[in-house]
Amino acid sequence: MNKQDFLAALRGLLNDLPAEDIRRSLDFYAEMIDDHMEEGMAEEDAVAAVGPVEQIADQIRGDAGAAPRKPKRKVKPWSLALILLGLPLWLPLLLAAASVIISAYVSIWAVVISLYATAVALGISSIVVFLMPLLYIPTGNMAGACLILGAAMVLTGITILLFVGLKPITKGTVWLTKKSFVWLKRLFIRKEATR
Amino acid sequence: MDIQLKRGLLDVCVLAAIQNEDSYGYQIIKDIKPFVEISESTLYPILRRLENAQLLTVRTAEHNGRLRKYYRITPLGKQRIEDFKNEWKELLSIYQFITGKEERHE
Repeated sequence: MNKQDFLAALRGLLNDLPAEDIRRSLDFYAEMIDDHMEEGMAEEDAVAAVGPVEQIADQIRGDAGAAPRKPKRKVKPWSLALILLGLPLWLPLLLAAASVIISAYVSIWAVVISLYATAVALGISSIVVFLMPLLYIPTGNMAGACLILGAAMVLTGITILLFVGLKPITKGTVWLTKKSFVWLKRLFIRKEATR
Repeated sequence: MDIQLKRGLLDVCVLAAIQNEDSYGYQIIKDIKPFVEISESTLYPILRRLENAQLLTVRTAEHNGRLRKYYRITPLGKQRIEDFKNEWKELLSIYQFITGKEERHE
C-alpha cells in the first residue's frame, strides 16, 4: 500500500470521529511514514512499518472512546438485483416451507394437548368408576362391586402413568422449540457478523 | 509484562526521551527502542495522553519542506519523572527485602 492509500483508508475508518482527532492522527502517521522514508525506506516498506491500518484505527477509536469499526460489507448491486428478480420464485417457496414447518410444530403440540386431554378424561372417569361400586352395594352384588372397583383401580393406574409420562414429553417438546429458535437465530446472526 | 504497567512505564520513557531537548515522533521511537519495544501505534496515544495531562507541549516546525511536530516537556512533566524515580526507589528497597528474605532460607 502506498502512503496516499494508507492515509485515505485511515481517514475512512475514522470518519465518524471529531475532525480535529482525524486531522491529528493523519498528520502523525503521515509524518511517521515520511520520517521512515527520509531514513532511506521505500514508501511501501514505510507504510508497512507503521502497522496495519485497521489496528491503528481501532487504537485511535479506543482512545477516543468510540467502538471499533467493522468494515461495511459491500453489497454488490447486481447480486441484489438478481435476488429481487427471483422474488416471485423463491418467496412462495419460502412461505410454503415456513408453513410446513409451522404446521408440523403445531401438530406436535396438538398431540401433546390431546394426550393431556385423554389423561384428564381418564382421571375423571376413574373417579366416577370408583364411586360406582357404591351403587352395587345396596343390591348385595359384591362380586359386581369388586369387579367395578378393580376396573376403577386399573383406570386410575393408567391415568397416573399417563400424567407421569406427559411431564418428560412436554419438557422434550419445549426443549425442541428452544433448540430450533437458537438454531434459527444463529442462521441469521452469522450472516450479519461476517467481516 | 503486565500491560497496564507497561503503559505507565512507556509514558515516563517518552517524557525522559524529551527531558533534555525537544524531539519528534520518529526520533523518540529510535531513542526508546533499544530499551523497550515501542511502535508508532503505541506512541501516538501516549503523546495524546501526555499532551492532555499537560506533561508536554506540541509545536509545529518546518523540516525539509514538510511540517513536523516537536514535543517539549513541561515542568509538570519533569515532576512526573521525579515522582517515578522515587516510586521505583521504594520498589527497589521492597525487592531487596524480598530477595534478602529468600537468601536467608538457603
